[in-house]
Amino acid sequence: MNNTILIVDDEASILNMLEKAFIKHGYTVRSAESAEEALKILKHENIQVMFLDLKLPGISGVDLCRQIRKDKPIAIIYAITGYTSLFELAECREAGFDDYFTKPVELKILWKAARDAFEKLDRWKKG
Amino acid sequence: MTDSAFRIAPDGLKTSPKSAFVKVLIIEDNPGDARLMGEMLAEVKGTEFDLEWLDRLSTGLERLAGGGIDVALLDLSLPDSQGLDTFVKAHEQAPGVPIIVLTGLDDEELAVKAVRQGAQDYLVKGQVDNNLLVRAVRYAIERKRTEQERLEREKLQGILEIAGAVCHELNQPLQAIFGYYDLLMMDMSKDNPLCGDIKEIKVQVDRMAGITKKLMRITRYETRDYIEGRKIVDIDKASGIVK
Repeated sequence: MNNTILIVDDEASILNMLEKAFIKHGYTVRSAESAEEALKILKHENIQVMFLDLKLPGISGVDLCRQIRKDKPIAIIYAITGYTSLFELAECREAGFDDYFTKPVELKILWKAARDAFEKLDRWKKG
Repeated sequence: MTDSAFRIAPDGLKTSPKSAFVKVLIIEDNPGDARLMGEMLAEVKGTEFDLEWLDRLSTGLERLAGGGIDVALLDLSLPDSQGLDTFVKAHEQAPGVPIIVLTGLDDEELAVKAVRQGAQDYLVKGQVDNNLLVRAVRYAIERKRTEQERLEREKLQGILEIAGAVCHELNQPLQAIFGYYDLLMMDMSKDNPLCGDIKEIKVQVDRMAGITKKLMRITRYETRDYIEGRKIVDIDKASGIVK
């Protein structure tokens, strides 16, 4: 099955690192440095698991999530954020994120999140 | 009110016999003026004023440093200090205490200058009656309180903004270090002699991550003494980790 993950972060070093991390665990990775770039990728590829940084230049991670949700009701979308207040968390839920991780987060937690996401999608497809 | 029931003396002794709610410090070298104001306040119904009278700025400053004063009535012309300087020194000594400046008829301009620098109000001696004095005292206390609250709120707001910015800026590189550490350790055999050193780097980076986690929990304005009278934000207290 499709095992592609989309990661969006405006910092190249983090994008690089996450790419390596998910490739190491056998995933195919698409990466984007902005929301606009991410939307372009999603137009052509069917990706159901994503990690979005909240603070992006231009369209924010929260707005990006809102837009993606319109077309992908069952996609698993995670937020990775540098700073969270309670207000932002509430906004994340409302925007349609499935979960959020506060930076710095250990890779094993992100790997588990990815594994859980694909298991969930798998279950839904069978059901 | 008779002399026996109400007497104040320049030695600063508390002489009001009643238990008091509002502690008023009068710094005034003219006994007649001090006494008149004392009597006016003593006649007020509803609020009890606990008065202390001192006739020099030096002793007044000492008393202000001692704390517990709710409001100060300050004559600008004292034997050991004159003019705006009198107010500036008192205000510096106790920036949290509301000060009402007392001035003569010909000095109103000076009084206005004091207000501009942080005095809550001014009263012209000889033109004060009971109602005006009480209103000025109560108003000064309330205004100072709201001013202090606003200041605290603004300080907290500023701290939250800085904390947010610092967290974001630091969490980015921390995320990169965390991730690359994990990747590095995956490819490294357990018996590699460098493992210990690299793990130590992680221990230190974890400490830094701990600091940003605390910063994100800041909900109060708390400071602690740093060096040479400088105060810095007490992250442990402000984030509610230490009460």
